[in-house]
Amino acid sequence: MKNKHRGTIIIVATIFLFSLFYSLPSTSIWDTAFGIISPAEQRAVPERLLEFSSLDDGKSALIKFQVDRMAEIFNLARNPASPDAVLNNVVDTARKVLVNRGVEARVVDPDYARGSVSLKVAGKTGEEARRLLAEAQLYAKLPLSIATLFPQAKITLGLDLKGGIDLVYQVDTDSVQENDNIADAVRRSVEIIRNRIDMYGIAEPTIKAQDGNRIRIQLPGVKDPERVKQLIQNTAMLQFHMVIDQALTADQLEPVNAETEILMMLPGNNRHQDIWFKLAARPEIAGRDLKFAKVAFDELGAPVVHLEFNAEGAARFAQVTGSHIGEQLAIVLDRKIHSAPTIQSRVTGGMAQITGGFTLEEAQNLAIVLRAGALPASLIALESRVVGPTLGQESIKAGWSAGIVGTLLVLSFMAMFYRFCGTLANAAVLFNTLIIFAVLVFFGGTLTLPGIAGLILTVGMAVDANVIIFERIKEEYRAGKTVRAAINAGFDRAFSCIIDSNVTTLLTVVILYFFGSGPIRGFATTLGVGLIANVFTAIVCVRLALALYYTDDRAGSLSI
Amino acid sequence: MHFQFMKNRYSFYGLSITLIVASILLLAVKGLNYGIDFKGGSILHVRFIDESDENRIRETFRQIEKERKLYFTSDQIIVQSVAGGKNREFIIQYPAAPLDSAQNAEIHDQILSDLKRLAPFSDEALEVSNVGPTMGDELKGQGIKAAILSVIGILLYLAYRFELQSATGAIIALVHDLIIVLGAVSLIGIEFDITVLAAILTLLGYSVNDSIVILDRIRENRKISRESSFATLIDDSINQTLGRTLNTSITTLLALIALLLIGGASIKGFATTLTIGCIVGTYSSIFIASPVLFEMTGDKLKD
Repeated sequence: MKNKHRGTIIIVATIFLFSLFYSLPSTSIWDTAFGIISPAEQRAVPERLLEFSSLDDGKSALIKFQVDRMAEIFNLARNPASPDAVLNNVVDTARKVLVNRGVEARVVDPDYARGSVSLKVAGKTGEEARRLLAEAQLYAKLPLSIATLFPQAKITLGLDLKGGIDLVYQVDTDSVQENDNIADAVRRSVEIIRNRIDMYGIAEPTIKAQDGNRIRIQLPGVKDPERVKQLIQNTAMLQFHMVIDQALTADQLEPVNAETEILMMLPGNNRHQDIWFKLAARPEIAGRDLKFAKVAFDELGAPVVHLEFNAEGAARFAQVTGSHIGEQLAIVLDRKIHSAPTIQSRVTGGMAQITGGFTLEEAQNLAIVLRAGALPASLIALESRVVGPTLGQESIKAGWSAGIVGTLLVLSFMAMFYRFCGTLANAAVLFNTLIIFAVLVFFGGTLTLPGIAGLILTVGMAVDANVIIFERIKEEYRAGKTVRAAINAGFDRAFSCIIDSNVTTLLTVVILYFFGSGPIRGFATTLGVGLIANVFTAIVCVRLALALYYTDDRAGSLSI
Repeated sequence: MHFQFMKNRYSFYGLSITLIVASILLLAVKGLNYGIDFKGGSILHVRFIDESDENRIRETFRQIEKERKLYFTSDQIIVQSVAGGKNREFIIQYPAAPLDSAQNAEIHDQILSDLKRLAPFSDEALEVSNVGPTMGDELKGQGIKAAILSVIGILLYLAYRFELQSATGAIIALVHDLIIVLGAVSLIGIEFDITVLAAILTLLGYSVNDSIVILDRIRENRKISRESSFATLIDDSINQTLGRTLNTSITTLLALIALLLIGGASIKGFATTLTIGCIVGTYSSIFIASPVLFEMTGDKLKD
């Protein structure tokens, strides 16, 4: 008897173990045992190097995180991790979990040369901070060697759950230079945007060119969405023009011809009056000759952007400044004048500064976009969606409770209505959910809010197949068949019906997957995987369980 | 228990036709309450530090309107208080710019920073979405294409698995469900966003499930039954499968109701649409799909 089922048992057991193997690392039990931060990070910024101390007579505490440079990820032959980045990530995670526990914590004393960064925790002593961090389950309680046996991948949450930015831009083809190729301009724009985002430091960005000269950018977990959007949208076209005339209104500078243009100066800190300039239309020097840009501070301590030109740019700069001493040179960025200093002397060495009443953040942004280069065309925002992390967490919580309640309702109904068989169907549904999770992790699928809804819906729909089978078994049993014959007939007769109904649903789900984007794809994925897994759990697994249970000695009566 | 579905089928035809006509009228007169996914526009979902109400938010926008050149007026905004948000959480909607242009992004950013300055909110905004008119139109086209493709796909599959009459019965029941659910969505005023579209497409696949169970049974009974009247045979088939039809719907409904009541505001429209669809779909598979099959084949038993 058992021999006949050996093959099926092995398959079911293998799939079960596979699902457990890939699902476990995404659970909260896992985090309790092996810590929130990854094993590699735990070795790179080990718990044993943490230092806790009390400050200000116990009114606040300092937690010092230190990098262990001997850790494996820093010494890989290929792509070793950067200690600064790992340290920042760990400290940021620690800060987040502390803030989530209602404790004020901020990053202080970054000392990357020594590989240490500290967190200042308000209102706690060093001892209390140590306890808090332990409660936050940052580090593993069980040996890490166990954790490393499992896959390191956790389930990917969609932007709607994790928080983040989803942007679609259209490259404005009218703004592409005449001698430029549009497809090439789109491709270069993607590269430049990627450089800017990399320089700013955002993990896991997705930047893709799409049909119709579009660019889609997805950035998970961004803290300062406004600033990041600015970073992407700025064309960052930097040009230096000679000033011909200036006035308080644009009218006074009329007329303009092909060789001149009128632009306004950006409003400054201590200047309320608009100032307009008439400029030579042809730029003297352009941003492509730039070698480097960084933030510096002027004599008053205000942030400025320091520019360094390459050899060609420097020569050009020296020539222009040498031949126009006493005249004004306007620094124009994206068609706006930032400043128009008077040339005092011939400037050699190819250095310049952009001033213009920046905040530190604006100056940092500007330095990044200048370093990454100007976009070959301006971008039109077609769609922009920003979800804050708070809403995402609340959605997860709501989805999670709806899932538990929904599942409990369905499970109780099945257990009440179909007794023992219903309980088996319930086990099959739970197995189905486990398989969906594992498949999502394995194939790198994304769990979104509609995806969670799809998961809950799957629970309701997954029992359908078993309801159809059980009703059929009941009928056959009533018609006088023996228990085993009724079970076999029930499964055989219901099979075509189950396949037909799953195929039609799967058909619409596939269409949904190809037409939908982001969140909807997540829904289609969970529902689709659930439907396929359902055929396996409801038919193969439940049938196996029934066959194993109703052996000859128990085949007297059927609990259905 | 044995119900006589076929004898009473004209009453149910009447009910369904009434519902369909009412739905079409509703869709023609009231239409769908399109969300920004389809009509374009902007949504600001924020939690203010201080309590607020619709008038105060409108007043704030009037102030922004005074300071900036906006492409819409403060009367055009829609303010919704979020349930359970303690009068602090609001969803503010304003229309899309008439054209997609490079300046729009700047205007949206300015509105957000003005709002933050005039009426501070805690942390960051919960959600900020701006959808331009191009994307909205495209999505509408795609949605309709996806729905038509789904119906054709299902029709082809059913025609392949069953004979054409049964497939037609199932498809008529499906279109019946589609129209009535859209009518209900219009009546309740559910915001028709991309998740509601997903719910409707899912329904297309799900609603034929129940019909398939019954049609499958009819197919089987035609081969084995000695019954001479097709109407009686259909009645028998529906009665034999009634337990499964109802129970499969109940389990799905249980899951949906949990989703509807505690799944959170973001998927309420989705859950409501599916719940209505699940009920209508069960009704139509019993009272519409098989009777339509009967109307087409007549009371003669072939093969």
